[in-house]
Amino acid sequence: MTPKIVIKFSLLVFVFVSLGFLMTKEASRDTSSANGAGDSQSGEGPNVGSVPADRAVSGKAAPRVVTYYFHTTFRCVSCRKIEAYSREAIERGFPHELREGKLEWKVINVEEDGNSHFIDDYRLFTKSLILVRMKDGKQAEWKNLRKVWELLNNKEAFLRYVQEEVRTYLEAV
Amino acid sequence: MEGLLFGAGSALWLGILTSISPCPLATNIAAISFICRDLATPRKVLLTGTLYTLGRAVTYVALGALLVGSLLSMPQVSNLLQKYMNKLLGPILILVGMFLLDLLSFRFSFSAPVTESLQKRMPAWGMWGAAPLGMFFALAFCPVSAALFFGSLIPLSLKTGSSVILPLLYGLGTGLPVFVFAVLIALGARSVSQAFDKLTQVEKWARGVTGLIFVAVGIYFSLAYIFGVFS
Repeated sequence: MTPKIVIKFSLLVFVFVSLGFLMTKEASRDTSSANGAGDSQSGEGPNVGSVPADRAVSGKAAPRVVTYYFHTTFRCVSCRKIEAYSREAIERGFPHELREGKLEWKVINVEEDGNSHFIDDYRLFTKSLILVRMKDGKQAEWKNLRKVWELLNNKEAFLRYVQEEVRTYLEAV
Repeated sequence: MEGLLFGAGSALWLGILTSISPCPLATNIAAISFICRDLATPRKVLLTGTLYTLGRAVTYVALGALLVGSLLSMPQVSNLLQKYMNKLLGPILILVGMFLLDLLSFRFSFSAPVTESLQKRMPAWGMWGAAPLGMFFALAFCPVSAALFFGSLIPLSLKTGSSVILPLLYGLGTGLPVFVFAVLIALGARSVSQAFDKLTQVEKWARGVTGLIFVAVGIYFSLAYIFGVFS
């Protein structure tokens, strides 16, 4: 066999194995989807912030604002950067609120089991930073901080934008 | 009028911003090499680059019109395209690369004159192939392009009431950096190879490199999006 034939068959085997793996993986995955509404909403939505049992034991207050960073299994450079900047903005801007449990930071992979509903709940079309204001353990309103993608190359503006939005939500409680 | 002009400028800039961000880098490299490969004929390079850019623009216009007309749900379309197009891109790029490297070829069972005629047309098809390549790459949304297209451009189109012009400008913006780089690289390589009187060899080499890049990018996409190696 010539090297050309070896390369040709190796690549074809790789293509078929890839397609086979993809089809097997997709066949075993649940695909459920439904329409959502709005990009920033008020009113009761998914009960994403019910008080966990450990919070009652630790004496922490129920969160007033939850900041979600939603991503997929494949992490790109920009997605990691958004997560890191958002975390930094929140940890630097609101250390007391975080310690007291008034503000929560959550990172969620929407491709993991049981998380796909977030795509419809918050109309997620890419990796997103979502602010949720809670009232009595239930969601009162939420907002997609879309500008994070446009401010990605300006760290100071990015941090300022996230902190201002979180502050507005905290003050609205 | 001012609002539309501002929107037009923003749409073009959003397109450029999408193209120069790191996530479409792999497909941009593949596109540049595809456009550059006929470096002996600058007219072909320009035409291939134009077709690639128009292919992208047509996709965004169609998608924009469907979304602005509320015929499609934005999160569903975005997630569907990001999820499946990137996964399919790997195997398809490998197969296209194999064709470019002559590892695969079409076998026609037609009579001889038809086969000859088809073979004569093949190089021209290669050039026209830039348009579907642009369309396909445009549909393979990555997180940045999804955020800027679905999150910034579509709301802007809704606001200005322009469901064709703004997506068109966005599409042209996404193709522009690739087009400019491809033309510069092709002209630079052409001048250097002409200076050394090696144009034919360099062109042959460029075609081989294009095939290799397609295969390499295809393997990268398969490993990243199907097997989750880089996650």
